[in-house]
Amino acid sequence: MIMAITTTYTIIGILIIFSGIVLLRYFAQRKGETNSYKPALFIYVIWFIISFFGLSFLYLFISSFYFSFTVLVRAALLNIHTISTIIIELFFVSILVKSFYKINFKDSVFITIQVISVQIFMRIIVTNILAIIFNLSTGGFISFYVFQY
Amino acid sequence: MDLITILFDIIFIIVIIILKSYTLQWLASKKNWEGNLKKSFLTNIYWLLTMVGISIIFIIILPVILNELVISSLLDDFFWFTFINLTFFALNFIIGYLLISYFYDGAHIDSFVISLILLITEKGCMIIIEALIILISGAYYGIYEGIYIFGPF
Repeated sequence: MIMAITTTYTIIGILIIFSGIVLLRYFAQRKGETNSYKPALFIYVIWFIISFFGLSFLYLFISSFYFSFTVLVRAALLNIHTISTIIIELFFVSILVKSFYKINFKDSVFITIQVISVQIFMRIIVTNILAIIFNLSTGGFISFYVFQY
Repeated sequence: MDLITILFDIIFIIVIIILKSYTLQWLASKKNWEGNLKKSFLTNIYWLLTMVGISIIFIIILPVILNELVISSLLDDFFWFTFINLTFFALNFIIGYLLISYFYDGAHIDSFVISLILLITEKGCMIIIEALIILISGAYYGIYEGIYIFGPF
């Protein structure tokens, strides 16, 4: 059951990353940029490659050191890890948006903040619903993400 | 809830109100909405006061509901704990959205997104400050539990 829920969460996580394509195109269009999906698609494919093949291995390596700490310190480090992921995503995606849409950095940060906020909102809802489903079906509890609770 | 936690809560709330006000002012300027720092401060203060009021209602009503459901402590029941946290989060977001729509008279989708951005900024800051306090002092003070009874949400 735990494998099924974790797999579902991973798949939904990837879908949420790629929902960034639709969101980015929408928010860029509202800002008066191109109507095309191409720049948004390129940006999110590049970001997916960076995060999946780069950041996730880096974080796996860093989090292997966490086990020597107490539960409280581990939870604190995990929270900092999550927030830093969001900040890194904001930075990288803003730079990509600036390059692909040829706009100034402040505008690209603004567009990216909007996209990431909606993605986090979706993650919070999905994470908690999956956790509730797991709890109701098995009686246990599962923690995916710091914004869970 | 000791004096140190209350002090942390007060300092934290002041910091968050200031941060959210400047963020709202910047976001509003990006959307070309009419407004100034005073308006954004007012919006955030009303938001905070409304949420404190809702927290108090939760504190009064929750024990009655838990009694009916025969639950001794919310922390022991994962489903209700998560459900109530989600409800609180949703209320927080809706109140923010309504206040921003009212004060700035912007498009619904823009108010929706800006309310989300402010809420996530607030939660992110809370999480970072709590994590830093744990790493520095080794103790967990439960910041925000004094004002909003539920931690991360």
